[in-house]
Amino acid sequence: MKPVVWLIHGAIGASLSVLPTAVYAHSPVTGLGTFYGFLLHPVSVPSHALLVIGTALMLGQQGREIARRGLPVFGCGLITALGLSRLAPAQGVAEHVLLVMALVIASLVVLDRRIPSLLALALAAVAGLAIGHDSSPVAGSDTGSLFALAGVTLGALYLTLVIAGLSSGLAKTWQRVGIRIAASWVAAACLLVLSLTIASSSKHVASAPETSSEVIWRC
Amino acid sequence: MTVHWIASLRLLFMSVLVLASTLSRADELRPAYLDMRETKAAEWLVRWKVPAAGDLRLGLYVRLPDSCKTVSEPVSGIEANAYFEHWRISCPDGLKGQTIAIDGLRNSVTDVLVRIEYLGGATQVARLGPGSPAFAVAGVQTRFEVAATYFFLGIDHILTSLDHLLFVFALMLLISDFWKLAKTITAFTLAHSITLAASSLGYISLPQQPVEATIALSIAFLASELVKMQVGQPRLSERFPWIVAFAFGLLHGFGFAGALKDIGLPQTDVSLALLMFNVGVEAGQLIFVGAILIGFMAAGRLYGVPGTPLRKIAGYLIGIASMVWLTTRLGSF
Repeated sequence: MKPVVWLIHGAIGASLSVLPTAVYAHSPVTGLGTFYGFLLHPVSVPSHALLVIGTALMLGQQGREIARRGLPVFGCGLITALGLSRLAPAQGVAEHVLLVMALVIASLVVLDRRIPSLLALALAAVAGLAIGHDSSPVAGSDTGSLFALAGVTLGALYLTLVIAGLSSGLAKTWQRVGIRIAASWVAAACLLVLSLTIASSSKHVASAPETSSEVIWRC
Repeated sequence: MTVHWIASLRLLFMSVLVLASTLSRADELRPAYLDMRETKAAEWLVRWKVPAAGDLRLGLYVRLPDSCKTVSEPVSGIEANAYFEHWRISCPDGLKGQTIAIDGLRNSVTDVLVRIEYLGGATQVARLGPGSPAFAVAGVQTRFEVAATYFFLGIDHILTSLDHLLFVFALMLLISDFWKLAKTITAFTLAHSITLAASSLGYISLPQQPVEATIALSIAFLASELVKMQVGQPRLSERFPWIVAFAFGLLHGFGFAGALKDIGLPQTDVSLALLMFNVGVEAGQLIFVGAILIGFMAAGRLYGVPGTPLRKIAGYLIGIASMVWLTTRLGSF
């Protein structure tokens, strides 16, 4: 059987295994209903939004062919990570990691260099895995879980599709400069949020000592 | 390779059926209703309705302000897939500024519609959900507050009504031409506005359950049109989409009216509330259509315009969903 078919089977299996779960690590937007709350989840969590936008810009900048292949790869990563989080519940990805990933990907876009297609696809897969893992289920009812899962998946995929789709094939110089400017904003936002979180965690460490591993991690 | 794809498609359809079976448990998703009417100064009739299946009801309980005392013991029962109870309370300190909460709501996926009607007919409407299981009673609402409340209720209603959205989505899949689509959506909007207004103002009345079942059938009709699509042989709904949209729009308007009836209209500012609810429905529909069009545009750039086979697959999926709804709704007769 072709690897792509295995991949589809794996993604479907992973998505089904996530059904009997619910509530997610980050709070959804309240007052919108479960589905819409989680649909906006990839936008309402800054580190997720920056990583999704950065990845989508990178896929679009690398050309239509990479974007076509990158989107399902990103989706498979996302759904697989949601499934794996269900099988082996674990703490989500640290915000620093997500921000560093977004920073690296956005910097690649700013440099406007052709990168190997395998690397681009690998970055899309890792981004999908990271976002899926950080949206890991905690507890709740089956139906709530189904709507939450559908919301997160659809929200992240839609945002990636729109940005990657609309930015792919932009060949004029000013259009490519526009993509780089957008990526530089993403990179700048990542740096800003990273500095703020590191600064606030340093203060926190100074005032209340934690376990050595946490202190090392945060430094 | 073809065999593998067929195997994948089979697996996908099986998964859809599993998902559909989960979706059919609609009880937990139906909203609960809390209706409070001031019958005389500081005395209220409380009506509480919670979705139920058989003898089982959702574990949602009303928590009224401590200053309110029960005057008559609750009378309860189960009717038409809903648990209901009503009782009288006395609130000597009034309700303004007091908090009403729904215990158990935080752990559910249900919404609760709250309607408070004061002596004189002024009303306050609120929608509570798992993220906001309590609200402070504001007292008599201004015209602007009434307009804003019903506008957002309209948006909320259309965006949480998967059947109406799926109908619009199926229309969008059927029609490739932008202007034809614009005319079709306008016809749908016009039609459901007519029946929404006529039904809400009491000029026409239809029983809600058959209407809901027929709405599911209207989606099944569009799904079958998608499945039977053939290049060079346009079908009725492709040639005259606005007629189909207008005819079924009339039906969907009764569905919106049913929802509005559940929420309730204020005794004063009826037309304002009705207008703003309709405007909210249209705004929500425009948000949905806009998002789908942008998605189509982006997907078109990457993968090209979806071909007939893809539309047929979408038709089958939409058909499955509509049949699940039809079965569930017929079961509730």
